[in-house]
Amino acid sequence: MTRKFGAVTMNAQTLGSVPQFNLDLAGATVLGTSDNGDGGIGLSTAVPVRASTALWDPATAGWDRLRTPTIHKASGLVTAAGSTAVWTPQSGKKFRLMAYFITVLNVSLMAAAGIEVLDLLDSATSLNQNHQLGLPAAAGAAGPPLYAQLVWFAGNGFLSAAANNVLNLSVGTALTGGGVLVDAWGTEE
Amino acid sequence: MTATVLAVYDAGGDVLEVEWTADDPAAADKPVQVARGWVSHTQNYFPPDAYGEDGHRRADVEPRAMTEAELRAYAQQLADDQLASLAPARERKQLL
Repeated sequence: MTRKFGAVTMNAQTLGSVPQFNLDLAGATVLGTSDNGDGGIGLSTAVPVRASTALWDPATAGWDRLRTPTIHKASGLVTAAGSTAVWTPQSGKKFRLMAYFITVLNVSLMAAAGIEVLDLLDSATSLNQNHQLGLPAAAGAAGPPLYAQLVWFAGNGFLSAAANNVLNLSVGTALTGGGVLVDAWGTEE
Repeated sequence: MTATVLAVYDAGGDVLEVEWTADDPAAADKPVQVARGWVSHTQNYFPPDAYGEDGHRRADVEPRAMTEAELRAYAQQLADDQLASLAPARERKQLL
């Protein structure tokens, strides 16, 4: 069997001494010239090319298939200072954080008014999210959350450094009312 | 059909490679498959009883390196999972 490609583009470049070819078949069709009796790919039968998208990862100098977030984890209401588990992956897996929503309830308060610092941790390592907001010592009237941020990571998001690491919410100062919620999306791999 | 683990490698970049075969492991021309896991799982390991009913780990449990028996079990699990994934994902049933 031989195959002819329809509208395709091919880009060539040289990376060091190794020639690199990027063959883009997305949206093209394949014309099969069958000599093996397979009617599904018979002469002039056009079938769509199945292609997956890959992303260049400069950290590993390799191509990485594009992920779709399929797992959703929620922290529950957190008031304690320190680390609280948001996402414990299955044994042997790494979490890949692709998006999260962080909410601070409007009735949140601290023992003394001040700046609350919130972050996410890969086990104990900061993801440098650095959410900071001023919180009062007395609750205000009921209303919308004091703070609500959707963070969507570009590309494939953040892959945990090691299997079995937990995604933790870090709360700088304990809350005496209200609380913080984190919803996280991504994959386990 | 069962998977027989032939060898386990640290392939770099935290990638663990398990070579296995579903054929006679003594055969010279046996087809060899490669399943992949994480090297860090073997060093940052928590036994099953470290996890509570809520799916989170108990705070008082520290990670440790796998024993050789646990590493063998992990490699076998990766091979078995890949063998299972090679089976047809869906079975077509005639309804009418």
